[in-house]
Amino acid sequence: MASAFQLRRGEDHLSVNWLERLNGHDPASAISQVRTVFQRRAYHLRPNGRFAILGVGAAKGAVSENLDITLRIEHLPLEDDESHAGIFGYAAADIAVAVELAVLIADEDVCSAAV
Amino acid sequence: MTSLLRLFTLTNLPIDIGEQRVSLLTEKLVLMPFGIAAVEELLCLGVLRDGEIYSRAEVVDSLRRKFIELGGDRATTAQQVIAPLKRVLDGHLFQRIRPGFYRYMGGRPLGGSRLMVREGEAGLASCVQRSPPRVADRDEARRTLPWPLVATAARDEIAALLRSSGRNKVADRLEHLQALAEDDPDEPAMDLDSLRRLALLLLGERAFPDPEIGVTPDGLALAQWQLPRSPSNEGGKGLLALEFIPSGLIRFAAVSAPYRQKAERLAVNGTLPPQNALEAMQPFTRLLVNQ
Repeated sequence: MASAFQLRRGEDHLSVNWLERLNGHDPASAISQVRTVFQRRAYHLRPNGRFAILGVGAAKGAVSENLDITLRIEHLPLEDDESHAGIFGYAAADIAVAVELAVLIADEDVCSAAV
Repeated sequence: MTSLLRLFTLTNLPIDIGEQRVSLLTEKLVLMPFGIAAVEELLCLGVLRDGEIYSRAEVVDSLRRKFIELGGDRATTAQQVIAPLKRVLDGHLFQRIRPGFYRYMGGRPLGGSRLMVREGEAGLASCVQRSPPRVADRDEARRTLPWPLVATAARDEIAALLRSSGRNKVADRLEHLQALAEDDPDEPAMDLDSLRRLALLLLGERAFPDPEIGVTPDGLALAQWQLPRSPSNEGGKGLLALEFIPSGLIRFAAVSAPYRQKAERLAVNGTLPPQNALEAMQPFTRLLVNQ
């Protein structure tokens, strides 16, 4: 859903996790680490929750191609979530950005959030 | 390649439709809830003449024809009219002459002294204030809220209205989202006016397939369609998303395919009144209709 990539009014970035920041370059292992972080923070992972993997280059390229917007990705490490990052550069009303990001997600880029 | 991970929630969960909900379907007709209030409102339009005696079949047929004339479902059966009519026949609007025959009393109370409040009288009073749209006004009604939607305050009534027009999947999804918001304070509840705008569009644009429905982080209704592959979007499936602003404007965006370097794509986005938004999105909505 495009809404997964939309911001709340007043928010200045979309929270994401930077996979390469995690140990190892195997996406499955990285996702498992993120899952552990979420569980440790008592974040409720629903059975229908999903993780989506988004390429930074494609995300930036897609948004800059048709929209006059330059996305910025910043590493925002948290005490208990070292890989935490944010996508900056757009606002709650920018549904076009959310659509550009959502359409980049192919079936193979999605995996279950809960185990 | 640098990759980011984003958590989201799947949109289409199968939901069982209970028997009770299915029976609700039969009570609701397209663009008009066909219940006791509907019968009384139709009668207010002069379907029957005051003081005349009618057979029950004649009353049913007159109501059914008037209902269809006003834009109701053409497939409406007499059986669908009979159930809500039965209770009205027992009320103050009719006087039973003999089995199966009734005198229509119109607005006149029986015997002049029986002005007691009965079930259904509220519906009768309200129809004076909100008349159904004339057939000639139907195009205009598509652009503004149709009168049943204006009167519809509850989310479950909107869901029932959508069901009655065959949008069962959308109605299921709305009920699921509502339950989710009630159970989890972190889940945004869908703004009621935004929901009405969404329902209005889906009731007006019958040719559009059922969209996926979501709620934006700010609580607005979001409808989205995956666009089928076509010669112009061979790079993958495109996406069309509409966000319903409570004031009536639609925030929309569509792309014909995912981004690929040096590949041309169609794209549109903006915030416009519904009719203008639909016109702007025509190259994309055409793909939906031709699916």
